[in-house]
Amino acid sequence: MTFNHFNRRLHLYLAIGLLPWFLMYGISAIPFTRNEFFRNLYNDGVPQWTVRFDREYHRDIPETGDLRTVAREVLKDVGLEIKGGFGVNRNRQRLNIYLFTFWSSTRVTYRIDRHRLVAEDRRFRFDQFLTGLHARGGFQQDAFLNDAWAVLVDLVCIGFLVWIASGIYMWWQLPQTRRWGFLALGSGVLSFILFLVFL
Amino acid sequence: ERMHRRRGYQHKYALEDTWAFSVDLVILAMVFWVGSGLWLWWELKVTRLWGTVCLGIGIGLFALFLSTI
Repeated sequence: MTFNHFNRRLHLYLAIGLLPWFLMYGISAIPFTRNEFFRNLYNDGVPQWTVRFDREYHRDIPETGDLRTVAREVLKDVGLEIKGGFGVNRNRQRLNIYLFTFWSSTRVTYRIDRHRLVAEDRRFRFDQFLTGLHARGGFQQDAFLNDAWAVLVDLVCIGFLVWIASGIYMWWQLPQTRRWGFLALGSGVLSFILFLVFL
Repeated sequence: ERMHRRRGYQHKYALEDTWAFSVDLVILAMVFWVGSGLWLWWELKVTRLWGTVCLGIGIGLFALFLSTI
């Protein structure tokens, strides 16, 4: 096997294997650039959040310490399962926990001073489903599959670089495409630099 | 990160909208690359077996993530 052959096969099989992520990152960029359109589309009177329960709850929340551990305990107390991931923050007398999967989002708000805990579910929105896919990453969640997703995202990042390098190599092997290729490459690089400088 | 998060069409200046337009072009290109890439792959009969295996693994993994996390 020559390097040329290896390069072509690498480009091909890497692209095919990571095709769902590549397509996902492309399509999921649409709601990011059309934010106002989707906001208006879903401005239809249907509430964004629906209360699942609103109950009395007693738990001391320490001022310092690991909030994630506290959040896990709170969620366990009220019977909420962590399927995807969660985030937590504290704002004075309010503890905010956000549970999410790709398809759903639940926010749990504990008013520490009033001993009141409210859980609300967000309505499904296709644009938020796409942006959730696009933005998901990182190794800070607990479950193995979350870390596995993060590894795949890293692979896609490496994949982009490999596709560029292997693609340029393949282009260079086609002498008849070099002129228009240079023109396209030059136009792209120049316009990108213009944006970098002036925006 | 700021470059990645730059959004468009709600700004005052033409250059901002042009950036947004270029982002739209990239989105279209990515969809086109997937379609044309699959077409090119299918033309290479010798790669169909391993290509189908790779595609199956990729789609299977993606579906697993979608349904679990």
